[in-house]
Amino acid sequence: MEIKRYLVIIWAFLVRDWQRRWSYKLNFIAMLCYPIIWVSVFALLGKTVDDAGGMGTAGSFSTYIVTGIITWRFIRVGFFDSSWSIRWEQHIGTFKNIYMIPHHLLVPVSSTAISGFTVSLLNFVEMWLVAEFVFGIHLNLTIYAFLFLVLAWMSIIGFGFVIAGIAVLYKEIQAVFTVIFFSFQFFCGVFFPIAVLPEPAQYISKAIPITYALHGIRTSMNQGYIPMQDVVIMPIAGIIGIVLGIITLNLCLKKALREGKLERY
Amino acid sequence: MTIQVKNLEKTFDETEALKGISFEVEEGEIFGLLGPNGAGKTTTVKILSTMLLPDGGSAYVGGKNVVKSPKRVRDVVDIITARDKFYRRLDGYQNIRFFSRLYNVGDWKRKMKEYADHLGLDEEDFEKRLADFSTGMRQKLNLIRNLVRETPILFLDEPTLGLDPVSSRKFRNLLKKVMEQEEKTVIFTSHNMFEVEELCERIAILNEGEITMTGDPKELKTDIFPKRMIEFSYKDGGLLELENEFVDKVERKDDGKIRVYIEAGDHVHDVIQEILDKGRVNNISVKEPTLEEAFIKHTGEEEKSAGEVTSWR
Ligand SMILES: Nc1ncnc2c1ncn2[C@@H]1O[C@H](COP(=O)(O)OP(=O)(O)O)[C@@H](O)[C@H]1O
Ligand SMILES: [Mg+2]
Repeated sequence: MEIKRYLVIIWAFLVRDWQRRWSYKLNFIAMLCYPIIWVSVFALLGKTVDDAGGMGTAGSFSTYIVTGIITWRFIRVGFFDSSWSIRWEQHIGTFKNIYMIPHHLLVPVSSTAISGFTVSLLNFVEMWLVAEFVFGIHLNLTIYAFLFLVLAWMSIIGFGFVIAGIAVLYKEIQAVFTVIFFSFQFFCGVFFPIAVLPEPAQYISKAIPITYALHGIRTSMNQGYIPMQDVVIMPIAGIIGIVLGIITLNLCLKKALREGKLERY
Repeated sequence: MTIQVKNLEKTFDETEALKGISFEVEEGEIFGLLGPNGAGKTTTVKILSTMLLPDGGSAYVGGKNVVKSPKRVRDVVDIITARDKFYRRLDGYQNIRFFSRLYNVGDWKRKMKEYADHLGLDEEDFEKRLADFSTGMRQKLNLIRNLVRETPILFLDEPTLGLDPVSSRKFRNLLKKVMEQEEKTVIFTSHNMFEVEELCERIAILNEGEITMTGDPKELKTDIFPKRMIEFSYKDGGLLELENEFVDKVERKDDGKIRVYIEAGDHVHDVIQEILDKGRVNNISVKEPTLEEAFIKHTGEEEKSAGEVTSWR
């Protein structure tokens, strides 16, 4: 498949998705408000804790938690867009027409994920601006921090593809994975350092790439150096995530094609 | 761009949906696949459009193997079903634009306008959101979605399902008009004999996963419906002795209705004339066995006489 063809398809999905969002005017405004409210709540919480003497995190707790939630928001959007893509098209009755192109199903699925990436970016910019200019919480954004963010996103959309594939076969499985995904909030050091978790739970933390992404982002932002461990782990996690996602999606697709579960009409 | 299907088999759990069907469709032909619900029509179309893998047999669409080169098959094939939807929050224009980009259609705006004129959708219609489209309009848009793509092969899987009789006929007329202009190879599936007869040049009858007959729809029709039944009653409750040689059997029901079973053909008129001549008639009607009945008859069960056919339309 030519790269130009792929770009046109991505563009088609981008335009479609933004047009859909824009068509719900109030929802559109709400979509812009959530991250602002979200970051404001945590910025104030952070300030409260800092005023009371902090929480023993390196740097201020405000910076700690705002970094945490910005990262979380970023990957959360990616997770939902990638895991929900196929089921959503099946549900509204457009799947067949998406499938009937001379390319692998990954082309539309990844295009949806990339389209979702633009929402992640928008949320990110909004939250950063509010933190910096409204609450004076300075996030020392470096290119490395951003790279970590993108790699974390990659590992998570890989996880999303896995779910997208399985959901074609077992419709309800999505609920299970959504719970698993949300549990990451507590294992990965989004709101509090993983050191406060009981020791067995910390092993789980270490198995999830988001933990390293957050560690890497925070260290590079606050301490100004790049932790080698995270630099090594994150690209590997990103690639493994995507590859695993593609393999699972393929296996599920084959099974769905045999069992007639791809499209019921 | 022909289609060759050989001994195609598909089983779902316990259901044998296709028991080794074979047929061929020639280039530019409109081929009908006629069969009652659950016959295996959709299963066939799904296999041919690479949405389902067969368990056995082979299928070539436009010269490409549906199992080995599914992407190349999808490059030349498109499907239209009654269940196709669009993005409700986008308008007609935005929807067609999205799919045209997805399908790599050049110059789609011009093509869209051209086909829209042809199908009777105007510019204002395209500015409406899909949520405000009627089912008939949506099906027209679906046709446009396919036409701008210009695939040489098109599958129509019961496209009129859910349309009311008037919209359904309009849609068929549109199809006819379009098919006359386009050089497409088409498979049209339906459970409606009359629909298929109207549109198709050749048909296969599919029942319980088997093709029982293939041929010209007009010929098949007399084959499928060899009997007619005339039902009526006399105002004065009179009895009936008919002389027409094509009358198979006469029955008198408890409610006073008389049923006359005859062989199909032009003699129906003669028999009716004779009935009318013999008394004052209430509610006379001519009935044909329903397709389901006809299908049962053609799946090799022993020939039933007309009187034994239980379901009439
Ligand atoms: N995905 C599926 N899983 C299980 N059974 C199926 C599936 N698809 C079709 N069938 C069964 O296969 C048979 C043929 O179905 P189908 O091809 O949809 O018939 P038609 O389109 O002629 O109405 C039916 O008995 C149907 O219940
Ligand atoms: Mg069907």
